[in-house]
Amino acid sequence: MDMSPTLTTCPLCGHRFSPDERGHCHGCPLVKGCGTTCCPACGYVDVDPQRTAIGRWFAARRRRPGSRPMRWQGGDGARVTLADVPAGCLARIVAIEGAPSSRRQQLRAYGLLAGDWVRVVQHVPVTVAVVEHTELALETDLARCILVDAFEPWVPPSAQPRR
Amino acid sequence: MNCHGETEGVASAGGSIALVGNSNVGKSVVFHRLTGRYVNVSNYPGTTVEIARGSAPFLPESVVIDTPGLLMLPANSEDERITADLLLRDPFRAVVQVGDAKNLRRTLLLTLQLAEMELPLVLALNMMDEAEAHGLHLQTETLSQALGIPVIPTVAVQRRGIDRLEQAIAEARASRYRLTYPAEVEAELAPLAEGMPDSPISARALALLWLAGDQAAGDWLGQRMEASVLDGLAARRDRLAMALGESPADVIQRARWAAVNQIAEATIQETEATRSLGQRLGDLATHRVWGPAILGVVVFGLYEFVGVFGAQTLVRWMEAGLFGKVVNPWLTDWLTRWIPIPLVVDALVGPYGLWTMGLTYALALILPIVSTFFLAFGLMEDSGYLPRLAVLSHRLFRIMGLNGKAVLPMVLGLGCVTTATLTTRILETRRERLLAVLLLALAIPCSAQLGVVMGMLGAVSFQATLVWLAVVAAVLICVGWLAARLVPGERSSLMLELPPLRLPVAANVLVKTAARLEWYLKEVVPLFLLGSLLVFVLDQTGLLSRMARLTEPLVTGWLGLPAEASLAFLLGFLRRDFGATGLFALQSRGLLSASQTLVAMVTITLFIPCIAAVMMIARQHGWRTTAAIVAVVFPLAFLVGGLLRILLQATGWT
Repeated sequence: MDMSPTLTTCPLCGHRFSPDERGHCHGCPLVKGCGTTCCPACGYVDVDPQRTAIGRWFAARRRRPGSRPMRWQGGDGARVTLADVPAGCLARIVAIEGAPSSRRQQLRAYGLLAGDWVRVVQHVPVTVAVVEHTELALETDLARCILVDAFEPWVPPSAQPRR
Repeated sequence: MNCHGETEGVASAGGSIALVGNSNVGKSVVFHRLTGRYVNVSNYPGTTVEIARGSAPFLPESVVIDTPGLLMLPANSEDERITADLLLRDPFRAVVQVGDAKNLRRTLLLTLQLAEMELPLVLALNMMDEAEAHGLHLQTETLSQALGIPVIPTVAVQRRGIDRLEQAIAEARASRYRLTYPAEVEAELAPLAEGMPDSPISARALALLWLAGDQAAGDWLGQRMEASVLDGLAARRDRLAMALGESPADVIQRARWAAVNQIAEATIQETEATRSLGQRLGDLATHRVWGPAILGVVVFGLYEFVGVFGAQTLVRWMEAGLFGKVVNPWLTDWLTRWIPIPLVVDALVGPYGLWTMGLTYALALILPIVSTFFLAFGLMEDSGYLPRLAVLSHRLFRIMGLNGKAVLPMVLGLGCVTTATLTTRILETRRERLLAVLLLALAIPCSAQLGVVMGMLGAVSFQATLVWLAVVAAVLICVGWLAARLVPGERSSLMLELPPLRLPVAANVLVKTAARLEWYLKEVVPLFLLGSLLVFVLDQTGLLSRMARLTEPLVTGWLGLPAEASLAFLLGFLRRDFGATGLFALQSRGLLSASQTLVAMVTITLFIPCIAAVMMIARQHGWRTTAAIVAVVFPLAFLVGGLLRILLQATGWT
């Protein structure tokens, strides 16, 4: 399964590139916060759905449980974060990347450690995860910094995250 | 005592007893049990933002200190730094770590740090009943042996384990638990520790804090070392980071976690537990559909209890009934008969009399409203609902450059803006604290004012209440949005612990409400009396009518209010709820139309809360910032009020 939205395909030349690459945008005063992608190979400019409110809304609907597998064992090289884990699943943490050092340490202090399982309760309005016996509300941007390498459905009433 | 073998330490001597621990683990309840002194206790992280002290009857001449919650060291928020600072500055006879038994691993992470400090340490594993309900059975004896400190299971709200805890504190000794870090860290630690100045904590622990980049430790060392020496230490830390290929703080924390997991594994036995009603309700309270629905029910309940029962039924009974028909006529009659000087009688029971205006406002109008609000608010605090409100409101606060955590001071501000200003300490950056204080000062009405507003607008129409709410919310969001763009700095992302929903303990809610009411009366009554006296003097000297004429262009011309309203706005500079009450009196005399009431309410809501709040802002952010806030708030209040009048006239409201 391709859970990683990191690469996009140019509709004109078929080149695969990261939406953050800005081939022909140097010097443009509007580059910050620009809602488009620009193919570094051919310069074709397209609207990036992930940078529009409507696109994100539809993507969030698609990510709902039921429309996405509830079990994933990793190994396919996809970058999956806690924000991608369907609500109601247990996920195994593999690393915390991208967050400031102080936040990383706080997250670890709460027990979000590599190899540990946490339960994802919800993603809207913010991500809520159960760590040990603590419910932790995390902004989605922060949940995207927590990488997981497997997830599976959580079955009540055995409420304890497996370690 | 549970100290054994190699871990047995040295006896402690002198100093006071500090209660430290993660947020929302019950430190303040333990403090109350140990000292008999009540401090505010609630079910959300960050209730304690200042240090509280109380004497300990079980240890003569000792003082127990309650501290704000600390997740770990290095400290991140301002309230966490208060605790870190305290540990570095004061020598303690004993440190009691209060831990949440059901979150043992997180508790132990801090325990290891405190043990490394070589402070006489006792671990109180609190909320053992909740741990058992979660199917956790903790071997406290095993834990005690592993750490070399007494480990006392407690349920502080039921007073379970407190006697044992008191005994353990009296005999507390420093742990000799020593964690070995990776070789690179250890190689740097030893020489660093040797060069550390004398401190209440061990040199090794101080060196570890320095390596982990703790700001409180950095400041402490900065005051005791020359800049060149400190630069040398910083260079060593940078060298270590280069050698490790990552931040030393991360490596140190990982080593601690490995040790914590090892100890926890030997200590915890888990059995399956069913999910309680509180846990299920807790999940629903943050659900994207049920969450707002539950919030709607809570707000409606609050409105019915405070806005209808408190501000209308109780106020009518107190003001029109008790004071209007019984107390005031009797007192006027009695004073007129026994005091022959009309001026004195007027000063006491005249139109601007100390009793008829000052005390009647405070006791008959405001007291019923704040009583019902504090009671309802206490129930909300103790149930653990407030942090869930932070989750629900997060997106709104994002617009204003804050995160959902800012809802805690905002909701507290509905009780009292002054205390809420202090609570902004739980926000992580200075920028966020500043934004929150500005919004609090501008657009969050305190309970007294809210009640008057609800009562007045309720008498006009429900529509009027909605317009008032919409205007104030729009000002809040617009100013927040603008300020977030003008004040430099980044927004910090939301990370907040959601405590379990609990059934509030009636005694705690009642004590808290009573304590807040006492505090309210002490603060409000003198100011109301002072205000009445001021108005009386102004009236007698003829200055009142002159001032009213002076402010006429603003109050009558721009806001379109009767000249008498000037007095209310003058009172509003003292306390905005005092001003609102003055407007209430005008409305009772039939001097305000529906649109005038609305304009007056919006303007007075956007006033600076009170003198006490100004003092608190100055204490937190300095006089320059306070002056800037005041300079923004008052003109903005009048500007919005006037614009609303024009808008209402244009749309045909009368």
